[in-house]
Amino acid sequence: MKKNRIVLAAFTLLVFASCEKVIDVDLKNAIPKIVIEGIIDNSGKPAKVVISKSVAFSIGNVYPAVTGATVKITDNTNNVFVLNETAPGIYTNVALVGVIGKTYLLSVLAEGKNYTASSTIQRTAPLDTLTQETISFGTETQKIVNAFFSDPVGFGDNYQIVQTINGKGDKYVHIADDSFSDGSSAPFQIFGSTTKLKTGDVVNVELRFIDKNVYRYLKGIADLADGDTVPADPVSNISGGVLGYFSAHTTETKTIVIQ
Amino acid sequence: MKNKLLLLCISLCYFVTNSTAQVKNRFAVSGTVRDAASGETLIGASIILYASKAAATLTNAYGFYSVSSEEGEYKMVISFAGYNADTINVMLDKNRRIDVNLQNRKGQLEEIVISSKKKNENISKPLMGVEKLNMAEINKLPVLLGERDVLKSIQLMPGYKSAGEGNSGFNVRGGGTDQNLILLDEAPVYNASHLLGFFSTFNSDAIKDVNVYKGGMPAQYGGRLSSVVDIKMKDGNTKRTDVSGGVGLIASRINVTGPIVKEKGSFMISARRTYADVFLKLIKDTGQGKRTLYFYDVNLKANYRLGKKDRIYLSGYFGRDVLGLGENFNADWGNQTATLRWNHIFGSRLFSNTSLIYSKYNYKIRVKSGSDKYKALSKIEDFNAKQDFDWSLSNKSKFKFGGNIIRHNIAPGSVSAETSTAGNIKKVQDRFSIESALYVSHEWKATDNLEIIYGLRASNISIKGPGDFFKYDKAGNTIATIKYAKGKEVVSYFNLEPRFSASFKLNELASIKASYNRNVQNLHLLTNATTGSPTDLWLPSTNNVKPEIADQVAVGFYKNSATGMYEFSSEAYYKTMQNQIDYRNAANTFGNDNVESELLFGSGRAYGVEMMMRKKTGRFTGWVGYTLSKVEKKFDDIDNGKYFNARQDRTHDVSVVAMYDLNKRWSFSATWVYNTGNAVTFPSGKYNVAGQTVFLYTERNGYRMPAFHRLDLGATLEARKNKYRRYQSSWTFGLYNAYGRENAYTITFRDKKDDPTKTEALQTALFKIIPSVTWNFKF
Repeated sequence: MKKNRIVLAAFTLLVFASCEKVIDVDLKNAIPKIVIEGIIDNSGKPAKVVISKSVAFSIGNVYPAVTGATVKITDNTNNVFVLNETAPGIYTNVALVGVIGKTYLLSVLAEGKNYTASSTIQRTAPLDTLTQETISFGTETQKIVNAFFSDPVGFGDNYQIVQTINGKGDKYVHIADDSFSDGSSAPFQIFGSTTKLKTGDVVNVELRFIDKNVYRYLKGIADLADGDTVPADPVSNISGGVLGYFSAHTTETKTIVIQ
Repeated sequence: MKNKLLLLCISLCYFVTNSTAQVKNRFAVSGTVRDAASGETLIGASIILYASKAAATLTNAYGFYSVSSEEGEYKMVISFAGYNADTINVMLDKNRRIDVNLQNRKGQLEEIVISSKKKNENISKPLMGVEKLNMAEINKLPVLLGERDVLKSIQLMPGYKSAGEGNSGFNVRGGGTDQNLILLDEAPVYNASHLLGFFSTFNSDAIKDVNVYKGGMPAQYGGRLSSVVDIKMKDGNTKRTDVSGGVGLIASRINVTGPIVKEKGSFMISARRTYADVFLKLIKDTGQGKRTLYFYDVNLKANYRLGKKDRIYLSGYFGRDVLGLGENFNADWGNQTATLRWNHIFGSRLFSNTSLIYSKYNYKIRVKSGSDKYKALSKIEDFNAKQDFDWSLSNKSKFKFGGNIIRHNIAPGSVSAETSTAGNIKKVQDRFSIESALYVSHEWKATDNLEIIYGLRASNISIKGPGDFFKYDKAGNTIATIKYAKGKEVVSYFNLEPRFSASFKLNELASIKASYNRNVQNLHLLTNATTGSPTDLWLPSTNNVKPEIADQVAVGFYKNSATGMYEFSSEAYYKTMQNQIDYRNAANTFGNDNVESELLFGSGRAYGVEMMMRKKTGRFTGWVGYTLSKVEKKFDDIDNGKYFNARQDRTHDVSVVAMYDLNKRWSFSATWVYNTGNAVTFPSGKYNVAGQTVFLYTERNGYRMPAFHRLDLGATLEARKNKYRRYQSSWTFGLYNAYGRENAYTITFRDKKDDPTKTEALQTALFKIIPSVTWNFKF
């Protein structure tokens, strides 16, 4: 239903022509906060935890790595995996592959403080096929990718759709739940991407079956980007007062070349 | 609680018996005051009986008055601003019924007497924070695209703040936009805006009288915390058929009024439709199908006099917004109201009004997504029965009492599939509740200088089954689900709302006033705090959502100049609000049966000083208003439970309104507004998550939008009148935002367009200079 809001807003702007300009705003500089992004999936890629820090708004988008942290992931059968720092602020373990049904506990000791989180891999991500569609939006037309997947019957399934265009990540968090599409095989329209698709683009789509707390966190990120909410830091599933999230999920990937 | 009630009863009895003791050999004169030309009743006309000691009153909402005095001979003077006063000799040897017709002073330059208030009435009446808007004045003010708008005009008064540019929503003394009780012929209007807030639902052509209250609400009003906007439609011309209308840039309107049976009954029909979609046609069609965007509304009213003591009114409103984008997205929304009223006069002192009221707001959205088609419906529907009495006991003592009972049916949003591959769709349950109230209010002239209005409103809401009701823990997780059968009470809340206001006359031209009132609100609008939307949800109080309660104290000083040309008023207020509502972070609000789990509850406080200097007579009229205010909120889960500035917190608010009548044909108007920017949340840093830049927030509403200011200009040209013809016409010209200030509508933050390794702030302004022209006619 997010799409409706966008359409409403676009309509308003169409009718009442508005003017935009870049301005200077005097913003405060918050004390840098630690950001943890942890991912473990069943794709065979190594489990990865990235630790960085926030910066002031006025400087470039370069985020300092947090080095020298102790990162451990424990599964619910008490196997402990230590993640080693393979690049500054990037901690990985090749031996750790996600298994459906297992709950993983993340434990991070960074700059003298402990942070913990847990996430469960629930079921297979059912990505079936990708198609492309041209839609018009006001005066513009736009090519988008439709991801077809069959939602299992029963409410409470949450997804993240990660779109990569020619190897570059799409700067937009796409999420879906099944409140209005339980058991449906209707496509997810990958909408709102900042990059426009052109003929010849190689689009890679990854469907993740994520747990509820991760969905909630990512919805917070998406709502912020859409201006749909009073701005506030999304509630992380990592305790200890950090930004970011820890997600254990299944994943399925498909590729389409735009015609 | 019971003690308070008992005390009230005793004091009421005391006043009643005390006053009846004096009623010996007293008689009342009563009747209705009307416009001589159209037969339209006049609300708030002044009636004074002159003798050694004067007795005075005003006509009520139906033009009815009743004034009593000792046996004797009197001169009765009836006056109403803009009309020639009438003097009648009254022999008060029995109760008499005298209906009065007043002549409008039309065409004479003196009609520029702008306020319809009786001279110095603002000084003596204990009513505080009340403003009677003058429709003639509203029609002269410059407005966006020439669409005259009652709700926008209110925002030029101190204490009423616009919720944003191009928004007919407004905040009163720190309250939310849903805390205003907006009544159209007694029926609450749930969404008072068209086109996402750019226009209000009220067509000025159909409106006779508007009263707004921001404090000291009389006990007959209840259900909202902050204000009452009481709008009354025209009854219609009982003498002849009149057609008037207008053609503007964005909308056209027509109004027909006339007698049903001459002098006995009349009707009024008023309609308007916008053609915003004409502009859409200018935009290149992309072959996606038909695009539509318009709104229309229709106001209807009829009344009939059944003898001298009874009158029946039927009024209705129907309005709709329609928005469509081929078959991908279609939405329409709007209000419907209907009011059936019966006025009856018992004897010459007791006036009764019985109303049956229907009110509904709903929206429909159809979306096509791939091969699936969905339909989302939502509505709030009220059936309301209401009984009011006005009892003029004596010259010094008047009572208002009555009650009402409303059945609310709220369908927060059902989504259904027309064609779908989905197996299941989440359905949100309908909610039923019964809201009832009893009130009594006593207006008492204690001494020549002291007048008091005090009253009590007892309100109750009872939430009824059928349905599943949920219990949540602090984090919003469901811990219990309880099933209730149809008609079974889930929870009820009873509240007493004391109301008190007093005025003390220092002399004929100055007074001080004080008031205290408690208001309770049982219907809550869940809105995303940035802008209102037609899909905002109304939610009744439930087991999780407690009634909102506001307590307000206010004091004021009022002074008029000796000639009555200038009027000065200032009021200071302090208000506390309990059980205020905010959303949790990343709340899932659409079609969510557990929407109550997404809510946070807290409190608020608001205080400020308002001042207004008004020039009421002469060719040049207008006012300057200033407000200094603060409004803060407090929620356990926001900013660690500290007070933070509410979004609508603005330190300074200034409005200047000027009107000048050059001659019989040309008149000019100008308004200038200035206010501190709203409190707003901006980032204090940034970080990277999920491959994108995310902004870091440290506090709620810790920043300010830039100051807002705007000048609007208007001019009206009356076409030369032909004495021998009824036909009249006029042109209205407007210039919105005359000096082209780019006022910030939003400020957003993003990666730089041309250099994604950096971030930037982007300001969006809605309107630059917008000229308008409207042609009005009447015959």
